[in-house]
Amino acid sequence: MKSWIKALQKTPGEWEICRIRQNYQSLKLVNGEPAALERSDRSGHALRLVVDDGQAFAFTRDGKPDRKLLEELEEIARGGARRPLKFTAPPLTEAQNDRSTGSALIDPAELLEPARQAAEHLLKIPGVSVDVNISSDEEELSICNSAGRNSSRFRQSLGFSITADLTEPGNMLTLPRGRELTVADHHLPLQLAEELAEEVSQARQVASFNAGQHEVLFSPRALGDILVALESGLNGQAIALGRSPLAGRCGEAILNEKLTLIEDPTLPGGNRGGIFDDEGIPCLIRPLVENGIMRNTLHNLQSATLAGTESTGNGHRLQMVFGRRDLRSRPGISRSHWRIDPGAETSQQLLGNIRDGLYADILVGSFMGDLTTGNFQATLWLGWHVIRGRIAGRVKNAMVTGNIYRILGEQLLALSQERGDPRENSGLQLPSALCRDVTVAC
Amino acid sequence: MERLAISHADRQEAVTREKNSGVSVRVFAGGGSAFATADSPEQLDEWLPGLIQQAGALGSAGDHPARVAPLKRRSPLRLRLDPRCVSLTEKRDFIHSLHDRCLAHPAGIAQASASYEEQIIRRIFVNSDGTETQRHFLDLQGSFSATAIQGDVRQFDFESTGSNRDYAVVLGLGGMVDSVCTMANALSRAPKVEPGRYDVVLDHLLAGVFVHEAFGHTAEADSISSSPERMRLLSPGTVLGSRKLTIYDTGRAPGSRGHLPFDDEGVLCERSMLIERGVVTGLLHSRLTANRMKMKPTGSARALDVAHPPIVRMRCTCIAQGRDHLEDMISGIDDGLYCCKSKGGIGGEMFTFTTLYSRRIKNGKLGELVRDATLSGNLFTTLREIDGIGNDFRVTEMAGGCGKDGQFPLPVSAGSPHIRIRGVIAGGG
Repeated sequence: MKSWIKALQKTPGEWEICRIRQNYQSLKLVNGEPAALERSDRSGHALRLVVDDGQAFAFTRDGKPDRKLLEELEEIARGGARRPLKFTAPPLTEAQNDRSTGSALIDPAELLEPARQAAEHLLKIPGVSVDVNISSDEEELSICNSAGRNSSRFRQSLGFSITADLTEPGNMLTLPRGRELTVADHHLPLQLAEELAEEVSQARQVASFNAGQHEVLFSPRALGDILVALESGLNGQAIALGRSPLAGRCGEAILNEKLTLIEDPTLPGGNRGGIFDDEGIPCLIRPLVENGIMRNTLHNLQSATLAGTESTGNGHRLQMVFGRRDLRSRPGISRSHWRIDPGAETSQQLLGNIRDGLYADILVGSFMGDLTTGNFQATLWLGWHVIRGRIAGRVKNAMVTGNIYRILGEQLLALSQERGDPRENSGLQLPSALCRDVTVAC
Repeated sequence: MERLAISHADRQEAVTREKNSGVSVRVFAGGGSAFATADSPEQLDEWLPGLIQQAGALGSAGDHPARVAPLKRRSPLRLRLDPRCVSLTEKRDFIHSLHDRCLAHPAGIAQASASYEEQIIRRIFVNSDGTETQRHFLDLQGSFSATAIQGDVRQFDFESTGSNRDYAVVLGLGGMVDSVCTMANALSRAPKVEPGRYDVVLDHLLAGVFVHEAFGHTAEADSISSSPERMRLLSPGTVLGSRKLTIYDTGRAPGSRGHLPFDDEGVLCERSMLIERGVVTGLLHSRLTANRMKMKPTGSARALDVAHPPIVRMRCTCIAQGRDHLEDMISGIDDGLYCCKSKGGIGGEMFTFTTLYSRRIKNGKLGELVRDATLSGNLFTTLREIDGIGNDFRVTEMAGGCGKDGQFPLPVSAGSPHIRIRGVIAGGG
């Protein structure tokens, strides 16, 4: 990286360089037997150049400076539309700088026996096949820029996922559970398998359901899926450009007063938490919505420059769905880790309040809607018909639609006391949410 | 691999250059497999003895790739208009013009975006059976969208395209600005679809996404090869669709993003029949799944890039041409929708595919424009409800790609005529 920095220092304008190294080992078990091993160690440099307020971005695996690439970047930046961007270097505490977590890459085989036991537990159920994946990941990011930022961040995680595929005539269901673990969590794979086994057994019983408007209890997982619409509304660039329905509404009530949403990068799970974001800006604990009132937005350096403010440490690279982060991508704007303050009643009590409605456990596809408006349409992957407070069977072939500002606004009845584990929900620590008049199509 | 990406949105441009390379190895030993990827061959050399040992310690005795004849083949770049002959300035100017023309359109467009991406990739594959293949290929894609706003309602229309050989395909987007802006404006004034069940006619684009999500992913054998129950449920001879329905997946689609002469295991690509007259006749196989299920590999093993192992993927997935006329399919519907274009989808027993816009069908006639319909179906029922297959087959290309097991976006294509399906769930906005 030093030679790249020397070369960049000779270019006009401002610059940023990230050296990124991703290293992982994963072990896949099929029906309880180890089947495939994967190993990767890749690194590269992501470069940004700003010349005369024009920008260029590049990613290269070359360890040594590529003069031709730098010349091309300068040409691109000079020839481009004006798009001011200011690199900054806000101070980091000593604890935040050069902090390493964890030790050398953990061998996933250390969890082989617990993984086998977990799979065997599920394989006892007729019609079920099981996939298990144990993955040990390391990510090292070093960032330097022309404003004087020079920091490193090291993350390590051990992930465990187990998927049960239920197949019987007229019924084909895939149920996943996943969690970030430590090696000491030997009991957790079996615990996850037991929870999954219960779900699979219940899922065999299919219930009818009438389309219309219903009371719906969203599980923490389902709530996490539809929150992507709120994340889109809080996007600082969308707000600065007047695209978001939340533009100009900081300080106003945008959601139900029961709802307080905090951005908390110290929460475990996911991979957008930690000390600083992918632009070297410190990540902070701060309220986004407080008792329904909007308090803050999400900015990266680009959107902050556009809005005439400072980055909020939300400059994160692309998170692939069901995959790793794509560290070759340019930092966009996304949440780090979130938590919603709990309510007073238990989930069981909330369920008990439903006369004839739905418990939406897993939703998929809400990201395909026009999220800027807050509208979403999600397929019910796993959901239950609730009659007089009791689960009456699984609902198939249904979709849940709505607008996030109404669902968590006037339609929100209550939040549960318990919250899901952020290590199972991509860094989201969420309660269940009971909402009225939710549209279900089936 | 060398990549160029240009995007222009909200009057802001972003240009990205990427140079990427690497090496990977996959070892099959004693019934298990080990895959490793690194920046340099020297790094893999260090790991290799350990990989062989670890692979041998894994897996059941019978799990190994099916035997195929060694293939020695090169597939060079064959281009019509080579994007490397077009300057960066020209490309930027074209993308800017799409963006600016949308914003200047008399329909009153509030927001526009346009993007272009080209990748030139050289992939070399060698295995211990004697196969040596080299593929030098281009993947390019372009798209633009226009958003209109009426009060609280924001609606957009878009066009996208792609090719593996011809930059001129992207230039064709220029002729679509007027129709896209006009439709965006019309959609912003259109009512929402009421959620419910409808008889629907799908256009080529949407039908292509439908077949990809409704059956394509299910037909990828690695999603079922570990489950004896799923293998039985989807075994050849199973009736899954109506008698009119024939589905296949092919790598032989020259010019198309899903075109593949041979796959990333060195297996020649062919047309793979999946459903014929409603009956399952085959699946998509890699060498591993072919061995597990005692079938032939179909040339369907694809890796997103060198950092990922090949897994079973689609290429160009098609509903075969039928005999029905579009007018007859529409006139046969009392109360339904004519659904057009797609924003994507998700597969599974319950699959979802989003429409960009629809027209109501009442008493056999096309009616008002409506918006925000996401359609959902079930593998075991929806395919049987296809009762109309058009005589107007077309291959369609879209920007973006397919995602599976963390490998996204893989370039794929789809082909279909118009089709009619009875009783599909539509979730309105």
